[in-house]
Amino acid sequence: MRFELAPYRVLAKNTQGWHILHLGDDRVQFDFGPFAFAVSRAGFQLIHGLAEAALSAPQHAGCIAHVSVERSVWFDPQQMCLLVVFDGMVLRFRPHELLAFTMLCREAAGVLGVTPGSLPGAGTLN
Amino acid sequence: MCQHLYMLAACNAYRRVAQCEHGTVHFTWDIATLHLGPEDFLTLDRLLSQWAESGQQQFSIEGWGQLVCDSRGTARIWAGQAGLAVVADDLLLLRALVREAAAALQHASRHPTIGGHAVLHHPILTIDASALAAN
Repeated sequence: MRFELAPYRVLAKNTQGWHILHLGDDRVQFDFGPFAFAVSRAGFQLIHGLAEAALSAPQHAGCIAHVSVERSVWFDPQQMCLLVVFDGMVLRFRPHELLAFTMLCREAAGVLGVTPGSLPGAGTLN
Repeated sequence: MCQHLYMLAACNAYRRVAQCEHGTVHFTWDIATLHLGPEDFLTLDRLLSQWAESGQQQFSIEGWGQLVCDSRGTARIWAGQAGLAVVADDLLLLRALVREAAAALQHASRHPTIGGHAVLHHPILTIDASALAAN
């Protein structure tokens, strides 16, 4: 059986070959080449909010930004990596890659005309 | 960019394995999609099968991927920089889906002329924003 893919447009891309796409069903797809994930527009805003919060947070071991356990960013100083957790999906970034990811989110948010989602100000997961 | 997908196996619209016109296997599990070459997809199938046979909590194929299981049976499947967290019950479904798709892929490689090419309008691949609002 052959299926036609719905149309999409490129919201942002970088030199690493990462793309953020706006799908025909209004979802937003993060595309890293071998791996991609698609979320609703509100989901995109939350991920962008998490990335911005993680970027400005002090990098101590453990959770550095969260909406909930299922939607959070963790820093592992031993591996020098950041783990972005979102609904059963985990992305492992090196610190400089988080900046690239956040820049990509900013560009896409600008095209979409949305702002980063706000995170709860209180509470900790550590 | 890909335009057409040939379905290899599917549990539902959000859990499916398809192959695009470039030969890449698109393995979609909920919000995540792995884009794998056919050989890499067969390696994923091998990883899952060997892990199930081994009974180990952690299993890896060097240089490719890793499967780590916790005491509750929740597995994290790592492929490069990305991981999928899959609860125990879903892991059985995922294994069955991958197995079915791998068999279809191997069958297709042996019989390249077989396969219906009728274009279908699958709900997930056409515009249906209302069904996706729960994401």
